[in-house]
Amino acid sequence: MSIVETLESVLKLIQDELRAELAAQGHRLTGALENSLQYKIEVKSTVAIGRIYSEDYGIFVELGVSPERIPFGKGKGGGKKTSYYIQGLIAFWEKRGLSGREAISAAFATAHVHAREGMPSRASYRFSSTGQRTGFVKAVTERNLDRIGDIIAEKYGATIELEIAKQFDSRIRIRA
Amino acid sequence: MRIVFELVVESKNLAAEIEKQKRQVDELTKAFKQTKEGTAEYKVLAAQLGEARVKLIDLRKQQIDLNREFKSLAVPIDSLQGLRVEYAKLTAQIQLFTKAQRESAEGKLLIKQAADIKKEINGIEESLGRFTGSVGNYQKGIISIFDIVTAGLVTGGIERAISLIADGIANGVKAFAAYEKALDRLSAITGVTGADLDKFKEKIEGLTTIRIGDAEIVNTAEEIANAFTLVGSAQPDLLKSADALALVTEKALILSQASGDDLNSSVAALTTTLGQFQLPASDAERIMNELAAGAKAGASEIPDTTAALQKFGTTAATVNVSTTESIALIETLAEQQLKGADAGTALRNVLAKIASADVLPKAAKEEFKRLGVDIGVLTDKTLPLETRLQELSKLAGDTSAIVKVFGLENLNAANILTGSVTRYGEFVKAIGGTNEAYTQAEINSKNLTTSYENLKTKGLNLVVSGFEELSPLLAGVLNLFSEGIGIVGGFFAFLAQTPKFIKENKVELAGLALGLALLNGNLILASANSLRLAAAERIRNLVTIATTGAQAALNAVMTANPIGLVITAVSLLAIGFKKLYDSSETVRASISGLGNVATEIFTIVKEAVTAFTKGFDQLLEGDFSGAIDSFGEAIVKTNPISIAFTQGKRLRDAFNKGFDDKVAADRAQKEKEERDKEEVKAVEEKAKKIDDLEGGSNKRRDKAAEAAAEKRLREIDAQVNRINELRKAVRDLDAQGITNKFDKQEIELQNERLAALEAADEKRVEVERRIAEAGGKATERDAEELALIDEQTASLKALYDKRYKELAQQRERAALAQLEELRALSLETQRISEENALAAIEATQRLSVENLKDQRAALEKTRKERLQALDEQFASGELSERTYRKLTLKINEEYSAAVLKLELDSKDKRIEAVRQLTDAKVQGARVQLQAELFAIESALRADIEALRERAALEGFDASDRIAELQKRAAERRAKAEGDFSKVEAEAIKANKDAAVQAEKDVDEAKDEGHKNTLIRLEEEKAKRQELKDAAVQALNDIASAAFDIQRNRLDQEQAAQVQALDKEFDERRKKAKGNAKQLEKIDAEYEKRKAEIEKETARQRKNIAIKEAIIQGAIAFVKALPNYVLAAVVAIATAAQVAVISSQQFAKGGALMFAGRGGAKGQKSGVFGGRPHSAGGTKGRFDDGTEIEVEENEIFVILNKRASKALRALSEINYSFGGVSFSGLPGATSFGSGGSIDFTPQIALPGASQNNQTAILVEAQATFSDEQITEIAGRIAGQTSEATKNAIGEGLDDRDRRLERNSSLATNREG
Repeated sequence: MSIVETLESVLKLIQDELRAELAAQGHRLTGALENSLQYKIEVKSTVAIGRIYSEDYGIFVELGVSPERIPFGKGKGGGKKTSYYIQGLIAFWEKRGLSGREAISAAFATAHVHAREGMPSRASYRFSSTGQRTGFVKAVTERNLDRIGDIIAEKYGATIELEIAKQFDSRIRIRA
Repeated sequence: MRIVFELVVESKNLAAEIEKQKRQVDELTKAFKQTKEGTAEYKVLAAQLGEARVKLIDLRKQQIDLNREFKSLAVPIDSLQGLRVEYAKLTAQIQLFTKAQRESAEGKLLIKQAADIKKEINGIEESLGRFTGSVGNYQKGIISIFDIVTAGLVTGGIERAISLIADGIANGVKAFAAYEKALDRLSAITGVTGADLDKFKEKIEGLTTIRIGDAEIVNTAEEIANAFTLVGSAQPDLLKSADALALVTEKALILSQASGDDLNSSVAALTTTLGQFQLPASDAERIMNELAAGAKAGASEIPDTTAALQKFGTTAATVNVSTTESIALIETLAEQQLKGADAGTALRNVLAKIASADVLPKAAKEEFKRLGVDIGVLTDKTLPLETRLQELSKLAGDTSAIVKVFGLENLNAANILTGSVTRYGEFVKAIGGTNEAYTQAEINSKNLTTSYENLKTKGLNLVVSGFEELSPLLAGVLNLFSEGIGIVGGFFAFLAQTPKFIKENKVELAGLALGLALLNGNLILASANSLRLAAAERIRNLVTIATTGAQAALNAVMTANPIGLVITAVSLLAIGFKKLYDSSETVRASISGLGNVATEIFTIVKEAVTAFTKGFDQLLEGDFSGAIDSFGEAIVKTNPISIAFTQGKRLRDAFNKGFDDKVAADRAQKEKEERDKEEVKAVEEKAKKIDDLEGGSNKRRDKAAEAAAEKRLREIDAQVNRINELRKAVRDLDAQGITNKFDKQEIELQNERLAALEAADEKRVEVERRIAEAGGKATERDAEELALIDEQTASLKALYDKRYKELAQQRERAALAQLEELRALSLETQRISEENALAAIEATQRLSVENLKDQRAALEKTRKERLQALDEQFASGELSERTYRKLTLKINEEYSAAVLKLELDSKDKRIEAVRQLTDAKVQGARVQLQAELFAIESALRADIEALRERAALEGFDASDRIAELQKRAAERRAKAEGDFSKVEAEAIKANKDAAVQAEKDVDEAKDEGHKNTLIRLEEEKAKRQELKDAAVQALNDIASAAFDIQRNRLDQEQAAQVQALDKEFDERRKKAKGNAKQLEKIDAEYEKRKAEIEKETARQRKNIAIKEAIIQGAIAFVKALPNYVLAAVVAIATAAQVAVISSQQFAKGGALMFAGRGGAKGQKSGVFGGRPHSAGGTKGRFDDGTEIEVEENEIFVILNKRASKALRALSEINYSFGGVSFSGLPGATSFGSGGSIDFTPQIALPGASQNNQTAILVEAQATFSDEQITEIAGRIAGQTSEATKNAIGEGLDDRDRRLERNSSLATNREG
């Protein structure tokens, strides 16, 4: 099996695991985030790089947002007329079945809670079956390190060196 | 899009890189050799070659690192190998640390861990040698050795043996090929061929076994050839001399064995050191020992030492630092975890600075001066390094001075060296002048694993030698194998048509096929071809049922082949003759024989291997003659062709044995199966009978109960699911949901309010701006607008206040509704829970009752069986009535006690069940209470929070309203708690009621049991009466029959006696011939004799009458019991009758004392004549006016006055104690049914004439005491039983009758 095929096996595994973890943490509404998880493989000489991409807001889902970083309720009267944040929340509630003014009201109510508690809110933990609402990438990566090593060792043999999760401060090196 | 996961995979592909680099080195070496020395090209090539070699070494190092990583996964962590891997990993990690990291807590911990592991490694090596290194795998090693010795039979059986032998041959072929390839490579590198190459070959084969003391290092020829190439590549100068190359290679091999590293590492270590220090090959032995000693004494393993030497070896040589001193330096730094190339670089710098101390910068010199360091000593290369370091140690601890002298980058190494001169000296002593490599190599060679590896390698070398000698034949042999395999493959393809059969016999087939291929080359091929044709022919003929020709062909093959029988068996398998296999014992046995043949083949091969081993041992011992014999035996046994001819008998015997064994085993198996079948059948029949007897009704009942239980379980499951759904609904329906909903509405309201007020404010601002622009002067319009805005603002506030209030009310209503819903759900949950609990308990109770019923039925059955047995014993006379009654009572008592116990147990269970039920109810209520309290609290919290938020927003004081909410919540709590208390009280009451009811039920059960007992007793009484009546009737019948017999016999005897008398006297009268006197005398005598006969007969009649009367009395008495009064009357009457009979005197035999039909007048009894009653009867009238009507054949008896009086008295007694009067006595004139008196004693009045009456007085009392009655009854019973027995005995005993007859005859004769 070639290095690319091996890498693809790993990425498929991680992609599936990420989707499952998102669902388990209760982040499934339209499935947009899950569906946005796509992988690409780039080959440079002896190095193959596999990357999994997500919608931009995936990073917020991964890391969460502290109350002070919620763009709502700060400096009343200033800022933009149209808040993307509020628009996003309105869209969220509309997808949950509220209409017009209901969705707007719910969006503001949510914004109040976010501004008070940060995101995810305390109440939202009831949607999670894992007890977690953040760190889906971290959880999947940590949980599957051994499996990744095993796949590479099994399918490609001994001459592979892995570097995982560049987005994290510490690069995890695995020799397989 | 954002990247959330990135995985970088780099393919090092080191193996390919190394191979590529090696090729480059080879090419450069070749080119280098062909280039003239001293030319520019020569220099360029030398530089390229050096660079290529360095790169190659680097790649190998990377490979080693990777290998180490992988080894760590494969070895047990606590084995020596595992410790080494762990140690290497730790040191590699520590090397990357900065000084700060090393001094950190984590760094220190890691350094300590590394030191501990190294200590452990040293301890193990010193105490046990490296044998411990294979602890984790020695068992496997031992088994593998056994596999060799037993040809694999220990671990894998025949198949494994086949595999081992096949592998062995294949390995031998491969090893030979690989060796040839390695030699070719060596030839290419060295450029030598022909005789010169033979010299290299001689050296190579000489090194396959290296002896160190008692130990051996054994390598394959290929490995040695490759080692030559490796050493030559590393140090091309050595390629010029086979001896030098062999010497260095030998030391590298020993070093490899000593260190446990691979050969590449050891070669690199030796050649690097020799190269860096420009040493001749003869120094290889010393270097080898120093490297081994260094690794043992310090923390730097040989690969690390090599890496360090690569960096500073040349410098060391330049400054006259020996290899011993250099290795000691490396170990000194390594102890502080500065190792490998880093250590080498640092040492290179430090040594260079020391050697050039006189030309160092001014600042450095000043430091030397300040600290009194003699530069001359430092730069004096003739002095030992220790002396120079001693001088340098004056800098120890002075970081500033060290930095100035050696630079910041060398601070660590210099610090260590200046501070560890003593330790360095110790290392020098430990490293120099030892034989450490030999010692370690010897230790490592003596363990089991190495012995095993040596054994394998020796065998491989042997095979290589053998193949080398036989190389011209090898190709032919291989071809033969190929063809054989082709044929075998053809067979298998053919056999695949009957897969099941193949599967069943795959071991035999595989063994046979391989065995045949090994055994008998061309012969088998020829046979197989014939066979194939014959088999095909056979199949065709099977279709046409014309087998003769094919069978003949097959037979021909069979007889033509020395192992024809085997081939025949194969042919049978091959043509898929399963039917034949199944039906033919011979075929089955043949298959079994094949297994034996295969086994035998491998035994022969094993013996051959043993013979080879033995031969080598004998050679070593100098027993050449024995060795030749052993080798001869081995060769014969390993030669495929020879086996066929020399071992044929052995194979045939093996086959025959397998054949016979299979036949015997088949028969034994068949017999066993038959036996098993019969046993199974018997057991099944028995089971069926038992089932039929016991199971029928039970089964039906059990089935119905089971179905009902299952149905109930399903219902309960459904209920449980419903409960779970409800509970989930309860959870989901929390106050938070409602709060969120109203929060949203409230926020919406706030937003609307703010928007509206902001709009008003904006208008106000606009007006105010206009006023300001007008110079602060407000127009009337402005004022109106402002007023309007104020009004609007106020209106808006009022409006939204109102809407707030409405919303608050809605929230409160929703919360209440939610509470209600929650309550309803909870109640539903509770209801279902209770229903389930109740159902479960009812089921338990039902089960308990069913169980009780079963147990009672079992008890009843036992009781009936016991009573039945008792009845039988009683009826057969084995038991007296008293014992019978006693035992019956006992059985019944036991039964009653057992039933009562059952009832009591049941009662306890029922009470327990109800207790569980009430507990369940209380628990349900408690859960309900908790749910309600939780809901109340949640609602309260939500309400208060909402209120506070509103209060904060609108600025009012919410304390009162909060207090009100709390008050209402408290009321709700109190109500919920009250409800729970009520349930609890109800539960207690239910418990109590249940206990009372259970007791009541038990009492009822007791009453029922008592009633049943009474009924049973009545039944038993009636049964006993029935038995008694039957007995009495039987007795009566027997007695009557017996007396009739006696009377008849008496009549006949009397008639016979009279007849004999008549005859006798007729004769005498004839003899008297009319003599009147004589005739008178004869008549008188006749009358006298006749009277005597009649008298005797009468006496006997009387006896019979007495006996009969007594017996009849006894029977009547028994019948009258337990009516003691009636029994007493019977007894008295019987006594009177007996007295009457005893006193009776018979005038003559008829005893008729009154005139009756055909009778004489004056008789007081007789038989009436005339007509029956139906025809008007026989009527008469006495003088006193008494009229009677009798009928023909009725008997009459006249009692005298006294007897009549006594009889009248008896009648009265009888009547007064519940009996009947002897009706008909007084005034009765008609007996339609022949009289109504229960018993009619045969009474005749005493005396022959009316005037000679004997008065019989029976004194009777109106009442008797119990004692009297018992006494009377006892006596009568005593007498009657004896008399009855005698009478029956006499009546039925033929012997008595003979006695009587004899007695009569004797009497006649006398007469």
